[in-house]
Amino acid sequence: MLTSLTQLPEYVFRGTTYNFPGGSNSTSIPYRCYTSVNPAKACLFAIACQKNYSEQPVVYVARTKSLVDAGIKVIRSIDALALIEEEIIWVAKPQNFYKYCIGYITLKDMRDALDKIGCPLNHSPNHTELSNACYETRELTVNEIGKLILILESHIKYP
Amino acid sequence: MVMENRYLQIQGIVDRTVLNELIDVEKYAKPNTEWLFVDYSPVQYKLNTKFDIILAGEEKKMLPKFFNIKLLDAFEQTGKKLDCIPLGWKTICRFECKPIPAAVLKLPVLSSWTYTSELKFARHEDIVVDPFNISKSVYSEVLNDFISMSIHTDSINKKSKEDLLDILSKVISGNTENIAHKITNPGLIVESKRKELHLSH
Repeated sequence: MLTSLTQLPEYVFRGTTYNFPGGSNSTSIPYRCYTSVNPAKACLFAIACQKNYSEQPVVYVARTKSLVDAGIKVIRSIDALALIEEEIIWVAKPQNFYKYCIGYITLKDMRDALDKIGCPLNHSPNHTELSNACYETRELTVNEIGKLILILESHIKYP
Repeated sequence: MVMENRYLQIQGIVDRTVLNELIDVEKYAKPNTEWLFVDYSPVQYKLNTKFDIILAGEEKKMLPKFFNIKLLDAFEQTGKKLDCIPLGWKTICRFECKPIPAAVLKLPVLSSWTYTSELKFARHEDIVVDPFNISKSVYSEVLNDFISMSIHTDSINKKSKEDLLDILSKVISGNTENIAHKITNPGLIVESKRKELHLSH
């Protein structure tokens, strides 16, 4: 469990649609960009977004070091109010966040990769089903996320 | 009973300690208001949106009463004030209702969002009710509203089937003719020779 900035994970994931700029509440000061340390849960958000927006559902992948080095601040390393989502919030407009990402993964490629590491997604939630879907999706170990990143390397797309 | 999902999912009352950490509560002090954890929203709701239907439990049973619940404020998890409840966001919201519905007061006090919702707030125009699975209590309340409206206007004898259909259309989307028939058929209300409706008891 993360308790301080020094315990940031190596990667964070944002499930959304391609290049989604965020709504007025994300892009007004103070900026907010919501991510998860858990790629499976980020994937659930991409699935929910797919049901509301016509753009391609994707999961952005970022190294936290790249974000911190770019001067992007973390509000809370772990938000006590968002434990189910394993959420980390960045003080950035989403489109600024994307600039510092490694790239993005299509929903299909992410689901395939999750299958390969033994964490298949059992949900296809809309927004009203997200909380329960996140709750029923298990946490991933650092080793599992490492394996996932290796699998994703050949599928990652660059903005 | 409800066949669509355009409603706010209410998880519980926000614990005071958590609330004080996030929001300058005193600034918002007002009687007949309550701070609630609201789950991810399926649509965007503007501030001041009014909800008149409460659905309870997993079965989404409609509470047999019309409410006047107003969305006053919305915040996200870091205490940032929002100008609406955005689509796909979970929020802490302040609602006003005079009085606060008993079902809301019975909600659990929570220190964070959870994964289940006890109640749903909806606007009657946003929900579609299965007319063949509507509870007797809802019918009864619709009838009570119909009658009390008649009494208030002191013109009970002038109420017609059209008036009943008008009342029904406030709570039920779909074929209100069928539903009116379902009410009148068992004799809960009867139509006189002059085409006026009366309670049968």
